[in-house]
Amino acid sequence: MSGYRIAKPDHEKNVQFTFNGKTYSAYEGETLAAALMANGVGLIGRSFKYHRPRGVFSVGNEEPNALVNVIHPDGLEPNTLATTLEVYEGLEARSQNCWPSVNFDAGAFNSLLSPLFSAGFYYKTFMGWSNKHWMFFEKHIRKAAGMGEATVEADRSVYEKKNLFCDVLIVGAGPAGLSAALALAPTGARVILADENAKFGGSLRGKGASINGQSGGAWAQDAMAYLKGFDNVTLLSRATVYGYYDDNTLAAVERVSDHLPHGDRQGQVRQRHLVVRPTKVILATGALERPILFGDNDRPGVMLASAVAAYVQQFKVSPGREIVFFTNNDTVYDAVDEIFAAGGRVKAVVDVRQTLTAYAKEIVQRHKLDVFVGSAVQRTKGRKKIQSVLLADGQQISCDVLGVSGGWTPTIHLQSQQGDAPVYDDILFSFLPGRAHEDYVSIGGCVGHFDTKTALGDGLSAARQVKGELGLKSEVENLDYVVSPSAPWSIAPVFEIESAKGKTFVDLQHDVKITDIKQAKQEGFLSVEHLKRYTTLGMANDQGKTSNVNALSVMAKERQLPLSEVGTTRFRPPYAPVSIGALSGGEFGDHFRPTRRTPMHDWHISHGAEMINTGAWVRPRVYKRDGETIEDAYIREATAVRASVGMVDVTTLGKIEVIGPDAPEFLNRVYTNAWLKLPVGKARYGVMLREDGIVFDDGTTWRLSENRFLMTTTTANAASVLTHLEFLLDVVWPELKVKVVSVTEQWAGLAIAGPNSRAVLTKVLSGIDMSNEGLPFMGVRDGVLASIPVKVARLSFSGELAYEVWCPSHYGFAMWDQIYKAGEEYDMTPYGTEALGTLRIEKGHVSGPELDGRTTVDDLDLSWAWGKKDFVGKVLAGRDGLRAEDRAQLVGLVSLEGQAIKPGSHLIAAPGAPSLGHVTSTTFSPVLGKYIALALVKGGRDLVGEKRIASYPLQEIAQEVEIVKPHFFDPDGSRMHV
Amino acid sequence: MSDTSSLSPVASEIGHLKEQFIEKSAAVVLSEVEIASLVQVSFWSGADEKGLFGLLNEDIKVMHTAPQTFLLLSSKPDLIRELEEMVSEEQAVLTDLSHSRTMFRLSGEGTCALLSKGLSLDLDERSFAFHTVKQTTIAHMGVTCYRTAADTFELLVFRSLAGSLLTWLVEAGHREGLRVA
Repeated sequence: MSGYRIAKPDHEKNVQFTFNGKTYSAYEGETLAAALMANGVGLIGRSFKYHRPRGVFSVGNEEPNALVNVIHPDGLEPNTLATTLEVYEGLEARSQNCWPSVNFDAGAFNSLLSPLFSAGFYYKTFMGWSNKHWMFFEKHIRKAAGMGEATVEADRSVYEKKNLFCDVLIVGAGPAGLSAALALAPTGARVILADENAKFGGSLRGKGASINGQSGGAWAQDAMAYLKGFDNVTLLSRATVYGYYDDNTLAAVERVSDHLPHGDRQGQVRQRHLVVRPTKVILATGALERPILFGDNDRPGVMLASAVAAYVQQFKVSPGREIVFFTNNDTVYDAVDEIFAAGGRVKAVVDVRQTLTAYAKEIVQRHKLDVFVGSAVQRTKGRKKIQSVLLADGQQISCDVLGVSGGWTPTIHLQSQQGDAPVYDDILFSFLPGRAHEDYVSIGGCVGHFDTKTALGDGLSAARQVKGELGLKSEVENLDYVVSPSAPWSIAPVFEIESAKGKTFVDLQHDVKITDIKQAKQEGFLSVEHLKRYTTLGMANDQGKTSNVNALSVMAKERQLPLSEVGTTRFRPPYAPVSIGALSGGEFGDHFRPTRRTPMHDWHISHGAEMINTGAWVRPRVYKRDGETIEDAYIREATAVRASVGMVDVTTLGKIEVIGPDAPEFLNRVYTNAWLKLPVGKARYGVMLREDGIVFDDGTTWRLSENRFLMTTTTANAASVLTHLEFLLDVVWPELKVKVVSVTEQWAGLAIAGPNSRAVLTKVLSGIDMSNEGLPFMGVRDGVLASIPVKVARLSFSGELAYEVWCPSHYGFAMWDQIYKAGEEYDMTPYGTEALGTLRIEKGHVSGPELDGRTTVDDLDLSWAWGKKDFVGKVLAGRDGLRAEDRAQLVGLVSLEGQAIKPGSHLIAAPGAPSLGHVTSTTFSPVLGKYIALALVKGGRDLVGEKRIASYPLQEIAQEVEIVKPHFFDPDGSRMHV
Repeated sequence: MSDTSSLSPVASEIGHLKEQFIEKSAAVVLSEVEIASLVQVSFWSGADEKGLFGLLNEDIKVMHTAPQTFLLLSSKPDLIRELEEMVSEEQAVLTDLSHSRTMFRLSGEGTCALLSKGLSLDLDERSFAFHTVKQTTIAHMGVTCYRTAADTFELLVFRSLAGSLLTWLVEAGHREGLRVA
């Protein structure tokens, strides 16, 4: 046993771990900080800016100094707190922000230049010359400063998310939280008790102070055992509630297997992200000790007084061999008492108060302590470890640990996140939660009730209050607690020692000194919000948990204002750092977002389709044959369609049934063109506008019966068109008797196109006269395909003789397969989205790239669809801006240099000239043997026949193109009407 | 009828998963349930909704999914034909959606734990009673969730998303102890 370990923990297993490459021994259940202390390791890392040596400062997640890198098989985790990381067999950790080692760190050179590196140094020195200048320096600055280095490897750990609901969420399982849970458990209320630590009990853990005749620690253990017996109580340890959001929603991270050896983690979830939606919340988040500010207060060995006691009590490890305390309040004397009770020793106490309370005197006398009353620590001495403290009166006390207590700061982050501004209390010299809130109750240390008796009473009161608010019938038991006395509240409002020598750090994690705050004030950054951002005070991982109040006191003194008038910043989530993996949960890879597959998906895959995501849908892009490029494949496919026949999966189109006696009138108002006289069994192309006159969507709508229509939309706009229609019916025209129902998923569809398409369908369809007269252009018929009921519409997106065939989705695969086989004698060619695009560009049909939310009916050369009647968007489509002569108009482009025209290219008259418009869609046209494109060009219709440059400056591509009409192929549509 | 054996969008996946997840004492049993008929009934304003439900037999599950709108689920085909006899065009609009959804059933003591990973719903029986339905999302997929017993839920999802939801359910369930039936 080392000189620092007071006793071996009971029932804990011995484990081996490494720190900076050296192997040490520890016990399961210990934190890395405790284990390193037990092994006499005091130097943990280097500071953020000046690379000063730093050791363990605290015992929890308020830790500003002891941050380490942890290496595990699933990746590297930087900025892990040694004070919360539990050791396990095989743990491998190393210091961060140091090179080549923590003992000899080249970056410590920065410390010599510290007079230069005051607040605002980087802003003043490296910014403002030019952006390039900053970009050059930034990477070097980031390398020299900062926390741990994030890994570039993918995180292979498993994370998951979970939603929890309950009547009462209790945050914090210290005396107040436990008391509330004990009172609520028998009522039957669904209670969740969450605590960030591995073991419940909060400040009671390891404490000798008694409750009902038991030690605090034993009482907490019994309480947990009792609570475990209730099905309505959920106990969450290692669960940090980090955010409190609207509608009483809280977020937490449960560290499920971070404490387990690597071998035991296989397949296990590492961390679980919890979203908790309770009816009521009880916040029993306790309080954190804060230090007093003095010179060189950052040396390894300078710690919070309560932390010194906690290591002795909870882990049976003494942080040092010569422990001195420095305080402005009585709670340190409780710590002294506890340390002696646990087998530790304290050398002396330096107390800034002029007299001791009777409570303190009794403890001092009992332990025969040296006490320096009315004195103060001016600075520490030592280098990588504190060796002594120098008092203001010149006395020097040798020590290797200095425990400091400047009072207690209630942990009110969650209340502040709710928007309740903290209120300064000038008896506690701390901020307390603001106004009472209907959703939560604050109890115990977080409302300044630091003694155990009051905290236990708070828990009972809160239980009664929420029980009443929840309307629970069972009574809350009248539990009575007999508690040994705690230290009385007696504090001197001393935040800093004015005669301090050396560097006095306020924010240890970001190396912010008192002089930085003074400088910020001198430069006019008076608001605490400005002070925070200028100095980066409280902006590091620890969010200033131990530094905020002291920093505000410095600013208050500088501004000669009461601290209550200086105010404090609002806390924002997260209360403690949250790993990105926990936030993403399982949403990566295949689970990043869901994908939609058509019924013919497996056919496409088995026939060599290269798939592409179009929104959530997965569609065939091309069906590649051996040795083909994508361009080879789509040219072959498009050529086959023009020459014989091809088929494409169009299941992804949006489909909406529009039903009711007023359906024709409704469509007449929604579309720009007329719909009242569309006969049953016919389809019509329609364009709809947004309210502002811009084209929204287009597609065909089929009249299935007198009062029933089937509207098709573009794939991309299926959901938004349905929402648009529902809005119009619910809000604008509720008098219309019309229902709209999405049937996108009900129908599978294919388009068969090409001169032989009729011949193929005639082979397999029954019940439909497939002649030109029997099923004319835009005709719609019901038929049967090998016993599958189908709807056939004679429509053409390709410009060829073409049909769309629809069937109930489950039969989609069979329908596709039947038609494909029937077409084999005609060299049936399945085609993908690339060839689909080629065929429609050759015909000048607009699609998504042209319907870009900026174009009008006239821009797209669709004025023929402009009806005389009223329709949505008509009024605002008449605005001057939408009717201007220089608007970009749809034109065609032909490459004069035989090169592909890149989409997004801009049309210019000469190099350096302003843009005339941009290229929307491009392809190689097999029928023309040229690269062609559609474009939106200012006054484009008047430029037909002229030449311009298509420029793509990002890749320095420019080529000459000719502007032509957008209908490249079969402009009179004769091929569709055979 | 031509070869329509592959009516389920996840038939092949379910086949593979059945061989992979065979634990007999599983906490959750996942299965696909065939939908023979699914019909949406949208009543016109002022129409008598309850009158129809008195005529329905016990086999039909009625899910109230929106104002005046119900999904009727039956294990028998041609429900829409029956409904067309019972409901006039003046009363309601009928839409056959039998091919639009896939249904998964989850049962077993681990079902609520599995679902809580994706459903932002309180699964306590006081909040989500038996034979009630809720519409929400799981992993960005819309689901209609029907509770048939304390530990049995049926999830209706768009047919096109069935593969993605199945993948999610298996991923979320395999640590709970999963059997695919």
